[in-house]
Amino acid sequence: MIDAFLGFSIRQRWLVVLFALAVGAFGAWNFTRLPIDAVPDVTNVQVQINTRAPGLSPLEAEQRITFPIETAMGGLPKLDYTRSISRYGLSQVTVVFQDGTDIYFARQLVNERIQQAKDQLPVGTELAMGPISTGLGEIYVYSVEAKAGAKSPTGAEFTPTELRTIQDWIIKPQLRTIPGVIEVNSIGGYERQFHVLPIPGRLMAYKLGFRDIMTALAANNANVGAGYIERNGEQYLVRAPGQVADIEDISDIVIGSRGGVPVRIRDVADVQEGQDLRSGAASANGTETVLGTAMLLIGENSRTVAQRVKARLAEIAKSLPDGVIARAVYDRTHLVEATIQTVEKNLVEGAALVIAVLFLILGNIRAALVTACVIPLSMLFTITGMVESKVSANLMSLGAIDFGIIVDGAVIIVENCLRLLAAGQHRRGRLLTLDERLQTIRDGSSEVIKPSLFGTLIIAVVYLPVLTLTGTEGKMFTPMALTVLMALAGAALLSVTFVPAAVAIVVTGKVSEKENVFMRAATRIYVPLLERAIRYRGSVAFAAVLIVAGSILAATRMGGEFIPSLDEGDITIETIRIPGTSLTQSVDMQLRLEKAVKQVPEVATIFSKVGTAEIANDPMPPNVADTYVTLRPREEWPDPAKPKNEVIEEIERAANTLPGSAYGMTQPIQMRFNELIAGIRSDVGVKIFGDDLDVLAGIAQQVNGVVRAIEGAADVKTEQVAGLPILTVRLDRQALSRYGLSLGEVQNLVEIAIGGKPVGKLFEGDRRFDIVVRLPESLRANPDTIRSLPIPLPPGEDAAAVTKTAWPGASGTTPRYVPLSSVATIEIAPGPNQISRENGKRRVVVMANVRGRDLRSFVAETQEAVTEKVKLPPGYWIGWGGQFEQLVSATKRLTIVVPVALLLVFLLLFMGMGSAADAALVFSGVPLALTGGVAALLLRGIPLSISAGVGFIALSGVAVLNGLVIITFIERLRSEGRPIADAVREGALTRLRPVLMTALVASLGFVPMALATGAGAEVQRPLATVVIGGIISSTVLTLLVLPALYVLFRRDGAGETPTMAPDLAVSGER
Amino acid sequence: MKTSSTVLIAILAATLGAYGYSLLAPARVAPAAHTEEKKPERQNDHVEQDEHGADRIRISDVKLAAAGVTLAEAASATLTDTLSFNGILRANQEAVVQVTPRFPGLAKSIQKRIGDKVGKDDLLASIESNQSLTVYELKAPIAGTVIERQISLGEYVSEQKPAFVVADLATIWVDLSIYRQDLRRVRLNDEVLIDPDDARGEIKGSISYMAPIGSSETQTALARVVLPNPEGRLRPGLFVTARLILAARNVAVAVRRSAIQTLENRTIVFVREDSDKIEARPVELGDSDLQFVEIRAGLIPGEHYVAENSFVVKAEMGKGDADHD
Repeated sequence: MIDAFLGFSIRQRWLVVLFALAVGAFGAWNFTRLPIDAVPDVTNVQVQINTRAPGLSPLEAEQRITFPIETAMGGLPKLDYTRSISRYGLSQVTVVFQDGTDIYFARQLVNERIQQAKDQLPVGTELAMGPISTGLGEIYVYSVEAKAGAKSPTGAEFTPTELRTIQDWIIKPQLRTIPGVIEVNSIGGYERQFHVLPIPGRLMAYKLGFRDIMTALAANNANVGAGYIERNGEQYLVRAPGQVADIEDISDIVIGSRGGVPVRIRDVADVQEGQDLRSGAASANGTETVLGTAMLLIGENSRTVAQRVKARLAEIAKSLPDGVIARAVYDRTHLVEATIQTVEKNLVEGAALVIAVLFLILGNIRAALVTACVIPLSMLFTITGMVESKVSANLMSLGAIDFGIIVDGAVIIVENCLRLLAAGQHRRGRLLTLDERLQTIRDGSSEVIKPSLFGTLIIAVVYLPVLTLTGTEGKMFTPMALTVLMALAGAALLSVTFVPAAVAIVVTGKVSEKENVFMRAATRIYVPLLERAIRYRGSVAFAAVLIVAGSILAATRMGGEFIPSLDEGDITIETIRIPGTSLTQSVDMQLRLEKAVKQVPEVATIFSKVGTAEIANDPMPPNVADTYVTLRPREEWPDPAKPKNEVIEEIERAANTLPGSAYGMTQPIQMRFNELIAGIRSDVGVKIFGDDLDVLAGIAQQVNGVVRAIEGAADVKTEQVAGLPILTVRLDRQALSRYGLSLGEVQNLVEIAIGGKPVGKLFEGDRRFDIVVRLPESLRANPDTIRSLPIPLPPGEDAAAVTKTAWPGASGTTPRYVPLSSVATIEIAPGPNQISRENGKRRVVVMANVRGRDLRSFVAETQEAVTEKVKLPPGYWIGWGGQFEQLVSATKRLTIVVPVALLLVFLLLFMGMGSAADAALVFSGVPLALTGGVAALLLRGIPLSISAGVGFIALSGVAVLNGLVIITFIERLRSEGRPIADAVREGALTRLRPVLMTALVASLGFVPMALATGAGAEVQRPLATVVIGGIISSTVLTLLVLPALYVLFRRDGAGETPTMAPDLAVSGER
Repeated sequence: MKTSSTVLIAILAATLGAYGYSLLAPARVAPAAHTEEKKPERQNDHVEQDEHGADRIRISDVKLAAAGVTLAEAASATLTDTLSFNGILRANQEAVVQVTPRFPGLAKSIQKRIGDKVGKDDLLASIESNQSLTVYELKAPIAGTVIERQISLGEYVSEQKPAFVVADLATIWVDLSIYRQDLRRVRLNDEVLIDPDDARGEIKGSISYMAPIGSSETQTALARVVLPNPEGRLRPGLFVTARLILAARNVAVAVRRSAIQTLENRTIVFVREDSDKIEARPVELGDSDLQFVEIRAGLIPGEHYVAENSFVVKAEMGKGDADHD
């Protein structure tokens, strides 16, 4: 069948080439549709339900919001698990679905259940599902700021409130309409509100309560439509407007009348523009600011959308008030472009090197070009495949493509064709006719097509284990394996169609058959070495075993990392302060931090988000801030050669000059992923489930002690569940009854007085602002004044009589009120800071990292120790989680899949060679190749990682291929009756050219990647390093050790039945 | 021989394969997996405890200054605290006279209207007695202002009902309601600042009377300030707020209010020790005013304590435990 293919391709060569070009063009078109990002999206399928409940403490938020929602989510199809956080004024339930669930389907399900739960939620809660975005979603952040000296229309400097209003009502609505932007999140400044601040003394004097004010405000702020009337054939619409338009209007609202005198709001309260009780703040470069974040819709192309946002912002700039600017502080485009540049550069340079090598060794520029054409074509083929299988282009997915390996198949074919053409020309002593040429090419192709496809198949098989990974590592590496497989498939397809066709068209002239300088030199060096290797075969084999053993030892002592982290260029400082830190205090410390970090000369901009933004997709308490640091382009650094690590250290040092905060250095995307995916970010998490927070905390402490004592435990930490200072107004029911007060009345009063209560909206065109009733700042600011908060008493029995006295003031009409402290005790005590739940149960986590010992034994020992030493009361249990879960599952999977894949390779070899011994000999190339990989890693000081692991996988394929090429040829020679030493010698020598060629192209194709320093290079570096090192060692070893081993173990071979499949034996024969 | 070598090769390959596999499996990689993931290190290793269980922290002056933390010296201070009350203005009841006709009769003429100032013995009205049918004069018993008139021309008046109320508004009572928990802090002659809320500033006065009985209704007791009212600024019937200046008290050791923090349910003040250490010292608080708090125990005069931004020091002590997920 393959022959038929080849025949067709050569016959219809123009058609085939055109068709290949058409496929390429299709790929190019698909490239415009390919989502491009810097890193693969590892977010799981999750739906966040964020509920704002102004004023609720963590306990109430849990009891009244989180619990009903969580319960409603139970039993959803494809549900993986739920987790939740309840904090002050906020509940976040995250519903995680199994991988592969359609996000819109999931949201639909969640939404249905939300409807059920909605009735049970307290009045005034705002429930919203998180934006349809991922950890890669925050693509563009801009800061709305006033230029120095700019004046607002009122003549003063722009206030944070004004800036926030501009963000909310001018910028945000316009950005939200951009295709691909799902949401625009605001943080910082204050939302504009209108505050009605009643003065308790005056209220009492008029015998009015807060309730009267609220009723009056609610009743005097509405427009009504009253239908229409007809008059003389005309229709008049009737409306009765009554909305308040400004502070004056609010002040003039009448609450009631006393003795015919109207009592207006202004008589009992101050009305002013005010600020909301905000939950988050933002700052940039040491001043408070307003930040807007554009969020990317799932599956959109981040670069395109970020560019759209940028363009739209430039348009919006025209409509902003004079002196106000929206300045980009974070733009994902930079990262994506830098990353693409790195990938592009690596691929182009790799391709160029491959072409150069091909030319050097083949000595025929036309043939080299044909082979090189396979590179872009297979790439475009891959892109079509990526678009179809929804794999996005990024560092990881494009990171493992080595054109050297991909063109291997084509190289073998072209090389063989050239050889035969040269031989033909030589034999006939003239140029070949068209028919002769076509026939030669057909023969040459079909001769090696099977070994070539066979080699491709082997390389493909070793990638299979990667496909079985799940979870985070699956999301990172599966696309990588997929693209490689697609590229291999594309290249294989091209090598049976396009390559022979193109060779038939292009290679027309005289084909040189002489060995070029390079090959001659290589042979001259190789011959004596081979001789010696065969003579001292015993020692060679022993040395090989030693080297392998040595590198095993070295590998076990190497440091490791699980998944490499991409250098995003920007830095985030997770800034954490003790629970209970107030927002104002946090902002103050944050501003100092920004000023300190700004001193580092490499820092371009620094901006921070403190607390929770408007959309609580990342609900941080006020004591936590995300500080983003953007670095200047390297050229602008005082010392452009300075390693980034040093800059980070410097920044950390600058930050540490300020006391009171703990810092974690990370990167924007990495941080978002961590926040979204993991409940637990440490290696091991001991989750304690139960009901009573105090009991949970107690157990957590015990567990903490136990874990600490175990060898290898590091960074042992207990989740901060307590420590939030809570001022509790504990009402005394008896005291209340003495005064005739009801509990609800007083609670209501406390709520209004301290937290404030919205009572309507004030409209200014599209803009709408809350009208809030709240006590003046001076009366709600500290515990002492709260204690003396006046509670009006209901009118006493004889009150009526008293007021009717002949003249005012005649009797003792003392104001009838009591201070809050006489009906309630006011306590300040630390309370729960946040309540985490998982699968509907309260949970406290003790986290630990493991250093200096392997994770599995650590977990086993810890589990044993915890079970033994920690006694759990009934109703409490312990669960285990953390990154080790992923590791365990990945390990388990690989434990099965890697041997299966290796076995498959072995079977393939066995099938191809028909001899277990030969197959084993070829297979020995694997460990030999790995030694080089390990050595290369060691030399460059790169730790082991999954990335390097994938490199080893690719390496095994190439190594096996090398061995295969040599052994098959030796076998063929032996089957012709040659003595073993001769066969080995000649086989090895003849196969020098293809082995060197495949090895050179494969390793040189990765050289740019291994040396690259651009954005994202660190992800590809380990892989490329392993492959290069491995290929060098495997080439050297296959060329020297393999012949030695062969002679050593197959001494008795003479006269043995030839077992070689003939079509394999001729592969690449010269 | 051939078989054995095959077996040998197979074993070798299997071993090498196993090695290769073990290299690939991530378990080996695992232990150091976290090294790249940078986390807040436990940075408060410098927090130590002494034998009394007081926390100490090592922190330099430079660092403190960078965070805006300032130190002050504990010293004696004079505390002048204030208490706030609501009150009502009343006419001085000792200078309010209800002028009642002595005999029933008809009002023949009325000389004074409400609000008129009257001198002592000024004629208010003439009334024709029903009994004697003679006209007698109703005179102002004191000098003052007519604040109430219940009589019209030709109207029948009687001794049952006062016809005028004349009040001397030169002095005004301010009746303050004192909550019982504040009673012990209010004494006679304490200085009080009265704010009539007319944007003309506070008026100084002093407590001249403390009611021996309380009001059953409001559960408060009455304290009275008598104020002169030369310009008629104070009008009876209006509510006022009052601030009582508690008797100034000298205390031996006081710190600024902003120095007080709580740590693990204990009230503490951060005290600078000789070296670069700061101790979280539990203290017992006494009285306080707007600025200072008396320290009854735990601090001696001359010691330096963290006065402003003390929260930063608390945050520094606690930051190792802080975590966010």
